[in-house]
Amino acid sequence: MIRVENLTKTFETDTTDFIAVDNLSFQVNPGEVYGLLGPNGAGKTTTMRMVLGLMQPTEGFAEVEGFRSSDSPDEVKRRIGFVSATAGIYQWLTVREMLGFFCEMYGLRGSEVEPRVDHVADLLDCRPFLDQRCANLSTGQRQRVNLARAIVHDPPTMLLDEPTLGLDVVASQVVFDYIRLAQELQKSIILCTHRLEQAERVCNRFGLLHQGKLVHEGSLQDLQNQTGQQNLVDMFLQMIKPTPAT
Amino acid sequence: MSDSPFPSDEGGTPSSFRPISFWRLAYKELRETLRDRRTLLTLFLMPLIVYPILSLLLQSFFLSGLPTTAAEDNEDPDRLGANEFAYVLEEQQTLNEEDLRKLNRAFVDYNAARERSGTNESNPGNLSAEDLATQKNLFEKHSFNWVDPEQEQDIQEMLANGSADVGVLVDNRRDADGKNTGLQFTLLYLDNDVRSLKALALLENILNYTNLSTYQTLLERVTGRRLIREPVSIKTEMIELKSNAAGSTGISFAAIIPLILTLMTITGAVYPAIDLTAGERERGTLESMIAAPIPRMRILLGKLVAIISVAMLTAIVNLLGMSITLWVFQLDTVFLGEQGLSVATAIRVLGLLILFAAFFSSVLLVITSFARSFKEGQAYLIPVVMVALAPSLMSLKPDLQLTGVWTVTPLVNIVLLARDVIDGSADWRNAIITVLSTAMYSLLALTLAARFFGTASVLYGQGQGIGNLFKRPHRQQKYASLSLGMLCLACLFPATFIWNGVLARTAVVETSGSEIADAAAQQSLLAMQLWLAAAGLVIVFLLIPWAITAFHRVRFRSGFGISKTSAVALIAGVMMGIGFGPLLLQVISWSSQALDFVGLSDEATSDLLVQRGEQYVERIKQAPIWMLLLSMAIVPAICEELFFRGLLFRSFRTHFSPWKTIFATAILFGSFHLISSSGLTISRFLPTTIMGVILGWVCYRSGSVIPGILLHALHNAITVCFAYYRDDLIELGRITAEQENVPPQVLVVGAICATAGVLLLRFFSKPPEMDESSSDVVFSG
Repeated sequence: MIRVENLTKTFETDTTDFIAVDNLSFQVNPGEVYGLLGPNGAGKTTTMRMVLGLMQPTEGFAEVEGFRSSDSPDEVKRRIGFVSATAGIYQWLTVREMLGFFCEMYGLRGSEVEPRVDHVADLLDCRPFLDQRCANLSTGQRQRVNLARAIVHDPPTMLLDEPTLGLDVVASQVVFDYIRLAQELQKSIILCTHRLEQAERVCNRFGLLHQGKLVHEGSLQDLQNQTGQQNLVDMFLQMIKPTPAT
Repeated sequence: MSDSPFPSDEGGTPSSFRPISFWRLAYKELRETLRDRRTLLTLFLMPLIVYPILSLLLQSFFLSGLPTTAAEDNEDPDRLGANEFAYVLEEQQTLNEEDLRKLNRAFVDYNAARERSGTNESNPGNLSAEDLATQKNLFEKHSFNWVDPEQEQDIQEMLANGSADVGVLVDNRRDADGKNTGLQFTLLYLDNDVRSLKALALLENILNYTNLSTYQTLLERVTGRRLIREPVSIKTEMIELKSNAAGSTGISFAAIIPLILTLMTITGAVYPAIDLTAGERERGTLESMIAAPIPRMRILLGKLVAIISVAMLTAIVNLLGMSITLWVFQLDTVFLGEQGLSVATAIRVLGLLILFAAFFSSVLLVITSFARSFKEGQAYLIPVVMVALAPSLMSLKPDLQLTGVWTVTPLVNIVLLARDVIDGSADWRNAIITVLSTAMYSLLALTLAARFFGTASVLYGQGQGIGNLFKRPHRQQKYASLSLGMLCLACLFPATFIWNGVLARTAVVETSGSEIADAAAQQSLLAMQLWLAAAGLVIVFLLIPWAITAFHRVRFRSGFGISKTSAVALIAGVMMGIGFGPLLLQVISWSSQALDFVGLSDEATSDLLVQRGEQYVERIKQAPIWMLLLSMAIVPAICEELFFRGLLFRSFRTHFSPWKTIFATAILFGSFHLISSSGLTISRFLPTTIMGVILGWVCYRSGSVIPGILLHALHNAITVCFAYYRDDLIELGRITAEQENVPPQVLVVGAICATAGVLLLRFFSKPPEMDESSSDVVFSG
């Protein structure tokens, strides 16, 4: 389970303070996919980083499976699978070597590593290129390897930040198939994506972020009631439309 | 489809989690780096191309680039210059058996004439005019000039200015009874001079032939008579030039090899340092690593080990490439001397390079940690490499010795030490300072790297880049962080060294200043020295750390450990000061004796230090006791305690357990006392380290530096008083003039006081808890 409480992040610049995330609170239960949606610069990625413990919140806290990310970042990291839009892969290692390395990073040893690598490779259809150098992979294959890297330790929670960025429909489908599987396995998932139509299909609940603030939250039905719009695209457009001066 | 071959929750319980070792991390980094073509290019292609080209250039430089011109040589027939040597080489081909037979004849005749005259003098003037003429003619024919042994200095000058390639001294060889047993030829040559070495080889050949030929002649003349001794023996002596080890070239060739190895180590380290930090960040793999449950320090260490490994691999490949090339181009004796590069020397040099690689790799990690891309990393490192290059070139100066401030100058000290190791002239005291200072700088660089590597400000570019190193935190800090403590330490090390140098200078003024005759002037000079020593302590141990920590908003009182403590702790401090004073004096005495016993103390230096110490004690007796107590007991106690047990102790405690902190600060305390104005005083290390442990424990138990200041001041005061009133004690019959050990009764009293103090502190004083979290440094962004 993921719990975010009054999470705030302020960046100090030379001239002024910039509030990237403003008093954010939400909760993601096991078996739930939470769509954290918003335009560029809304604070989605900063929120993810604070949940993971990569960044210290200015105020508030995030908890993963009962551990606060600011107090016990290593405990939190062990319980999270993190896929970032900008995550890369080790070009000079083979897929097998890279996945094996991340197995060890997450505490697996010796005889545990190989079966786990084979398992995630089968799960995400990486078997055909398991022994290829990562540098030779296509974009879709790379993103699948990235997802495999994030789940080698079978985490109970997943943070997916634009996991389908740059992928075609077929490659995206592999990712969304995995999300559905993770949902069945009672994992708590936060999904940030611009693929709103896909988000509508896989997410149980949504949080619409704008300028660091949670503007709307709830199921698709709740959001439709709150905004009067039928789909996420329209809700988005309505949310970011400048308020007329009074 | 199930997604879990193991426990379905989070992949293992917290207790069963086994974090990856940094060796495995280093293995992955190394595997990735060594598969990269760019690494392989630096590693193997550079030595393959660079050294043969360099050797070709150097060879032509040595054989034709020396300043003595043919015209000059030809104008002066008495001089043996470069071209004349070439003439000798040409003549060597025509130096037929007849010539050598003549030479041999000359030696035999010379011997015979000398024996006939019944003189043992080496002056060839005792020869008959005919013999001498024959001798001289022969030598002159082959461009050798006959010289008198008393003119050895002239020969050295000729060798030094390049007008001669080799000098020959002819002397009588005598047995134990003083009886003449033949001629001894001493061949003087220049090490690292290719022409001198070749001339030496030629002469040796000629003289060896002479010996053999003489045997044959004598055997022919006196058939059946057994030859009992060689007619000529050969001894070679290398001339060490004070100002110009390589003739007129003005550079020390012995320093070239370590310099090139050091630069190659840098070259080897640069690429992986950028790639494993800025490169990973650019490719987006660094975030994935930081997102794993591994301490950042471990990831950093893994990368550091990989960088050092690649740097060392580069150094080894370069050493091999260089050795092979020098051997092929016959330049090995020029650079390495006659002895060449032994395995033991190579291992020592590589050991130094590991230390240097650790230091430089840490520096590179600090800098590249700020770079957002590979290109940016390169841009940062180019000036660093250039800055590193400039001082290292200075090490090529032959007269630059590894002494004084050079022993603590990064890069230069390692190159100079490696040079001295190669030519077998390394001084272990300077080597220790070099190794210690480099290790300290490495530690500092690593702690700085750990402070910034993988942090959000660096990972996501929210910080202000490298400027963060010097940025003031927004909040006040209770204690200095570990990296800040290390920064202070790194600043203090050279500062101490420089200040000791200043004090040594004032001592030189005093000892050499015969003009300072009157007692009043001597007293004022002594007072000035004492005040200078005290001022140095205040500046080095108090003002510099205070300035650094104040800039970083560390509160003075809490940061330097000035907090209230119990009366029990104060009493314990006093008792331990009284008790440990004589006990540690005894440890100093044992320490000196142990060093003498194991031969670690150079007898001459040791005697000199003792002599200086005695002179020093005699001198300081001229000062009033209050001045001595103030400058040698109170001020040192306050300054050193505030720094070592105040600032540094608290800074270490933010990361380490109490005992680790006590021992670490004690060793550092001991290391600082190795350096004094008298030089390196090894015997002080053990007692001061023990003292550091005691003071650290007192600080830990009392939670304040004040009991430690009392202990330290009393200990120093007892030592000063013991020296000051030593003559009175001898007069009273308490001690003898020769006595090295502290009287047993004093030791017993000391032991009782010290034990009582320890027990008091152990059972009646509880160490306060330290709020470690308050040491976090908060930067904007």
